[in-house]
Amino acid sequence: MKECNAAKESMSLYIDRMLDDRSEAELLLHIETCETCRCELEELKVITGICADMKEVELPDDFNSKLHEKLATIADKENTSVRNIALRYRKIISICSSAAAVIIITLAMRGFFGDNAKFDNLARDYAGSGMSENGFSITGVDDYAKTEEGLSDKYTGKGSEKEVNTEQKSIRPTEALDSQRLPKPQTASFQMSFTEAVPSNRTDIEILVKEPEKEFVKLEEFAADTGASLLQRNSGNEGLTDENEDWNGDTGQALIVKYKIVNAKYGKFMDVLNANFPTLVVLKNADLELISKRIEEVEKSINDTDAEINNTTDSEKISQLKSMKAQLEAELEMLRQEYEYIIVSIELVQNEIVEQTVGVPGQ
Amino acid sequence: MVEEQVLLKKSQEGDIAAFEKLIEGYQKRVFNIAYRLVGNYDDASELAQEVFIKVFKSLRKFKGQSSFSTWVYSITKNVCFDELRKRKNKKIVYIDEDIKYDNNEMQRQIEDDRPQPDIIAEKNEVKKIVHEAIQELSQDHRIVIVMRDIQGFSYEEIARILNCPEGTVKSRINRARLSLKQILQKNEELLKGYYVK
Repeated sequence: MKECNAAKESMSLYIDRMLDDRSEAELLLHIETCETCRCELEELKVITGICADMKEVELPDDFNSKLHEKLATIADKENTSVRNIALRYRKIISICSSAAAVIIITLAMRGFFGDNAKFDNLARDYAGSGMSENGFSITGVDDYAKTEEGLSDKYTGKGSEKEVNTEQKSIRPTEALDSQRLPKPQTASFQMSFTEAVPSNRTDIEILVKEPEKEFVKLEEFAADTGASLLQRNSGNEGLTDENEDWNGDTGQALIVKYKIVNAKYGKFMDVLNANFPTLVVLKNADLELISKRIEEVEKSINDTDAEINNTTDSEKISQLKSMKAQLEAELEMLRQEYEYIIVSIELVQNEIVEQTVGVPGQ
Repeated sequence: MVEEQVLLKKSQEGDIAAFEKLIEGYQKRVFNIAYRLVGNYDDASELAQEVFIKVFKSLRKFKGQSSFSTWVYSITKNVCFDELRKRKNKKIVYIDEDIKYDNNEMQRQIEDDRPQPDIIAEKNEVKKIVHEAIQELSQDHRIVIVMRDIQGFSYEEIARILNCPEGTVKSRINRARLSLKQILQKNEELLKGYYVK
């Protein structure tokens, strides 16, 4: 029996001609006298022979064309992402050049309307910036959630305000205030709405929604129920062309949807939005820069970890390093995916008057 | 090999044409590994596409610490294993699959007008039986049977692709073949007659 077990162990290597001479001689000697093992070896030979005889299956006719299409889409997306990021940076620069004038006007507006308490709350909430370890910062918007009333709870499925954990679920708007705690406008639409002499505090936020095709209808319904008006909806990158002469005019994957919402409803809007769109990430232009930087860091860490794995013989340490590497790769994947999202821009205005005077351009 | 390096570099820079040239020699093998691992032609096609998409997306991460081929086949194994894991809790029924009623099999009465090279390739009943038996093996056994016995990879190559010691590969191949033999036990006579025919 012991010999049979040993023979079974070496049969595969014998079939693959990888047994050393001595082991092979022992096996052959054994099967001469053991019919069971002889049969077993024969059967194994037949099975491996059948496997080796199996024909290669041909690729489907459309395999290459389908693959090419997918590759081209990916390459396009990557190019678009890079281009969009570049566009955003340029946009920031162009707006900064007029920032001084804007700030002066904003100061005048504050004095005129005197809604400083709310403004200061806004400033306090927005003031804390910086990235979390994952590259996104999350800040409470309690003041808005607490003052908000009358919104339907059907999106949250929650019965009362108290149950909404704004500390965890709210996301900091993209427009952090500058060092003087003033709203920092960043989009072209800012100037249009600013000609209406009303908003003393307003901000534009950009929300990147994953899987927009699935979430968009829900977002539309939600926006309508919360009183948000659709200002603009562009397919491709057409919304960015005016601001960037260098852009070659290619249309990418970006869909830009701009909503306007009354400031008082902002906190609840964001809170409920976040609760209903778990994949939603709010970014500001500076975040994109930080994401790019973080991607570089993570890539470097992965390379360093690889190097460390290669230089280590301790299996426990290797296992730890591999686990660390897997986490880094997951983060990298997430960071890279962010660039594929569709942009939903939400413009905040202070009150209903602005809505009426600015109007709602058609799609 | 030099050409592969050139194509690799261009591919890393996003050159699709270079990438397509680079993977030309791998496509059929990747597809066949997937086909033998998941057992279905259409799924294998999708998975093979997924493999090359992943390869393309991850090219920048490839630093040449293993050979490009080892890396591609490792990704193939991972993609197929992921798919097999997803399937674990759900029964997938193909319209060209036989329905079992007690011990009698009945062919599905649905006409399938797709080209079915998998069926063409497995006209031989014995090979079809073995192909199906491979699907009954555990993932670890299935991969080594596919790589060693069908695709003819060396033990050393398999060890690199699976990222495990060669000794593990040796014992795993042995156990996998014994398991396969066990599954095929009911068709013993048919198998014995295979080479006689």
